[in-house]
Amino acid sequence: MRYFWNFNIVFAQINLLLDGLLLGFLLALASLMIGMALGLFMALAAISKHPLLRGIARFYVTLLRNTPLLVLIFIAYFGLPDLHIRLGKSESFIFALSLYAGAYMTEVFRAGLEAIPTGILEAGQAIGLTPLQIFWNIQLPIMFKNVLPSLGNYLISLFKDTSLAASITIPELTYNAKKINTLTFRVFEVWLITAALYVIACYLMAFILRRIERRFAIQ
Amino acid sequence: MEDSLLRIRRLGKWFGSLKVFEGVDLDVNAGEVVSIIGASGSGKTTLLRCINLLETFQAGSILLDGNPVGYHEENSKRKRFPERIIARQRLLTGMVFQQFNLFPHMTALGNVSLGLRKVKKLPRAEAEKEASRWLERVGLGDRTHSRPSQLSGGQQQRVAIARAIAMNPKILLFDEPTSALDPELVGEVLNVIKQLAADGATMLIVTHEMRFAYEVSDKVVFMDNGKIASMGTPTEIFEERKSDRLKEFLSTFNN
Repeated sequence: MRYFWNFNIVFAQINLLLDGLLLGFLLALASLMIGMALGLFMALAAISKHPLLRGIARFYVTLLRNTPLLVLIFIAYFGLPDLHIRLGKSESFIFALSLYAGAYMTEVFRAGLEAIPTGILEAGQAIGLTPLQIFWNIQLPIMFKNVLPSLGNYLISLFKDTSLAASITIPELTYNAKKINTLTFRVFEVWLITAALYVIACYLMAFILRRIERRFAIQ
Repeated sequence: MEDSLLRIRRLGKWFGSLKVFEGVDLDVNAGEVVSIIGASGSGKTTLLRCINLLETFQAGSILLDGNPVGYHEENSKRKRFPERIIARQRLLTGMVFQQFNLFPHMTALGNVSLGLRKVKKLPRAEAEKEASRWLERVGLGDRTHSRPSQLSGGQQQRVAIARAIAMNPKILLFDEPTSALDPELVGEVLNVIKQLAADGATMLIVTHEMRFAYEVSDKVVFMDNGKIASMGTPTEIFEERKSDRLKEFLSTFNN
């Protein structure tokens, strides 16, 4: 049995794949941003003195981390309209991915906040800073430096998760690859190139993120 | 009798049922340097942290410049001041920690100017000018743009001293300021503290450096087992050694 490789037929459509790649990246970035905002609030709830707030944070993290992402995507896409919340495809996907990312960000930020030695916060108190000033000027910047490596990893991970958007026909990389596959029937060529594009994109992101990390490192 | 700058009366502190100290009376007058010595666990550090309101206390009162800090009486009930007031009361004291506790994400200049900008509300340029002036005073005029991680322990502690004194506190509190330092770096920090003392700063110093305490102090307090066991001039404490516990404690130090 012989397989006749023909990559040219796929390369002719490379723009479609690259457009999909960019869309996937934007979906991941938007979800990470919203997820970070959500995660920050939930992390503060998780370390607060208030048992109710801690409970809410724990409930959210447990619920979201133990639900498969695809199920979340279907709930957002097929379920929300029944509640008369009408979102576009991409919006409902971002909604699902943000909620999912937020649960992981909660844990990342909580750990980043807890890693700050109490003495440093006491030094802030000792010069007369209010709790809010300590949060903005000391806790938040140190936490971001602590968690920068994790944030990069989650961005890459979320980027790969955007392939699930194909399930609700969002024209990102995986969906467009499937489309080319249907048109050309060059199965291996399409999916190998798609895989290669994911690998290259992720590798590039990791490379850039490492450089950013090094710039921000506290040493 | 002159009114003391710091007046502590019948101060008591418990962690749950564990007593740290009780019945502590202490006065520090303006311009005075008072050292607190004593074994680990005798309550010295906790006492200092109470004065800076980093710890709660369950009995007694602390008066700074004549005003009660931390707690006040309301309808004959003891109430803690709200956090905003506490933050302002902390400005009366400056604290230098054993572990320096510099803000790791800021330069030396950032560490010293943060309080001037955010608490004293000085414009950035003015705050930084003031901060560099203090860094020069502690001999670090050339390290203003260094991060804590680029400084030696002794340099970090001198930045911490500049950070505390830049806020112009009435009294400086030192919590074992040289205990975390390599031996060869102790001298530079003690010299800075001596210089501040010579310039008339009011200071309360918890220390294990007996020779330094002897040289710098107007008054030495010996804490033992949650009480002030002896108090006196350096000569009385270090040379006359009136009590057995004090003799025993001081005999563990060679100098």
